[in-house]
Amino acid sequence: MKKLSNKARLEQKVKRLSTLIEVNGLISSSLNLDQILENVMAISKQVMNADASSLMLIDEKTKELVYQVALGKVGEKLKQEFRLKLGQGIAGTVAQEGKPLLLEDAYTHPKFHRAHDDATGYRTKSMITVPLKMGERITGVAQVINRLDGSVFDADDLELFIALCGMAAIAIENARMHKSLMEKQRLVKDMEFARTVQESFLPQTTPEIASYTFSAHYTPAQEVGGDFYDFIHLDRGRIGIVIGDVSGKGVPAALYMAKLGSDLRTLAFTEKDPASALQKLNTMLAERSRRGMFATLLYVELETQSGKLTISNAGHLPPLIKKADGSVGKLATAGGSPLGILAGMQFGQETALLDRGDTVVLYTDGIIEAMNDKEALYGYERFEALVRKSDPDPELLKSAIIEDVNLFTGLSPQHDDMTLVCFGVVK
Amino acid sequence: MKVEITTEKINAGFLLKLKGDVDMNSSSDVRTAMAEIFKQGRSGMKALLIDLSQVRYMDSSGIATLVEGMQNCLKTGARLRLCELSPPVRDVFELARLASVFEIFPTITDASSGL
Repeated sequence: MKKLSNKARLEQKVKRLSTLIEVNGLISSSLNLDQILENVMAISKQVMNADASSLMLIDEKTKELVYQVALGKVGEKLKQEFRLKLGQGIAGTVAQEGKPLLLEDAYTHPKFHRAHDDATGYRTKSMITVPLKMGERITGVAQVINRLDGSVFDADDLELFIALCGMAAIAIENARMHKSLMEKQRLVKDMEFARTVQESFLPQTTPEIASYTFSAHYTPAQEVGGDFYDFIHLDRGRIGIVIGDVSGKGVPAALYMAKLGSDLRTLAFTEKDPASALQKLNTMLAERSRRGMFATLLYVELETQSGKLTISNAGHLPPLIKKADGSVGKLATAGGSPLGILAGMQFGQETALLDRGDTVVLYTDGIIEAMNDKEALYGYERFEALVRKSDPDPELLKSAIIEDVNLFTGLSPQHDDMTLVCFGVVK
Repeated sequence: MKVEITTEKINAGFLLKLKGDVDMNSSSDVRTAMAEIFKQGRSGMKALLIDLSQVRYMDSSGIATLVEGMQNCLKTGARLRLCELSPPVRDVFELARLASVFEIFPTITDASSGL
């Protein structure tokens, strides 16, 4: 043990207190974590008269301790070549158990891992190992090794080092929070971008065709889903009506949707009917598939003169038809699989006739899966009942649905886009 | 709720068991587990079986992960077989007409035979 006079003890306490104040200033002066930790460990090494000091952080993915700072003669070698598993060696044990450890001679401890000394030629004697903790969460460990004066570390040293490590832990937490804040800001920017992409591909207006009414609504979700709809003017007597939903959310879904939308626009003109357009589109998407992304899609071709609908459905929710007599039914219930999964799939199509006063409702799952603050779903039954009792005029019907869904969800943020397209023949 | 993933080596290849929610937040974990299986089973894996009996919720990101797994299997000549679909997963598969693109089996035993 070091024998110190009362005066020397007092002087040492003052010095240690000044060190703590200095380190405290250090951690709040910058957000550069590497630099802060390097400085904290350099000061620890100096004030504790240690030959070496190091700081290791837990890699959450591999559950290993990785050297962040290693000061001393063999520091660089340690940093480059060594990692410890949780529970391995003194550092691994302290990281796992969360309790500081003061050793007068490391070699007497059963957990001491000699491989580092053997590889570097260093001889570890006295050491202090302290967990870096934020609440109950352990983020790493720090160590000081061998006093330069040949004596061993004591309880005062342990106390000081715990205080220093507390500050290092705060610096780590600050940096982590800063990083997560930056990531959140980046995500918000990405979402804004996704929303812009998405909205730029949606039609700005609805078709104006004599004796027909078209109406559409799109509400992006908080995270921006991959919903889309489109109207394609094929020729004077035919119009294509599209609704779809791309898997996933955010930028990837928005970009996939943009490409899919433009491909379909081309195929709608070159292919003979909706089923062959979807067949080609499916193969194109499946062949360039990334990360399993796919889309459900409904393509309706309307011959305006006769009111004939030709519908091909790729895994999308079947549209509803509200007939002039008030009855409500489903169309295209026997559809194929979603697009982009398997190349070469066949798609069927079915036809229906639109009479005066009939309205067709195309929608995405964001409508029926809209959720309120009690986590209850809006649900298909409520949706169908509303279509049944509402005015059949496409514009009024659309407004009634949106109003009812909004009333149900209140201010709860929605996790999926909501898209609705209604069209019909004027009475 | 996060997803719990267990991987088991079986005669035909691998059995992946998923428990919990397979969604936007957790599907990357499933993707990582599958990538590990493909790495290990590079040669000679006949099939990857996925047990979905304990899946409480699956969104389109989750389905996309299964699609990716199937597409990877096709490239290597292996089969991706889904088994014991929980009721919520069954509903999603029915709504999106996914039964025609995946091989689906009522039990793990059924899925393990005929390979």
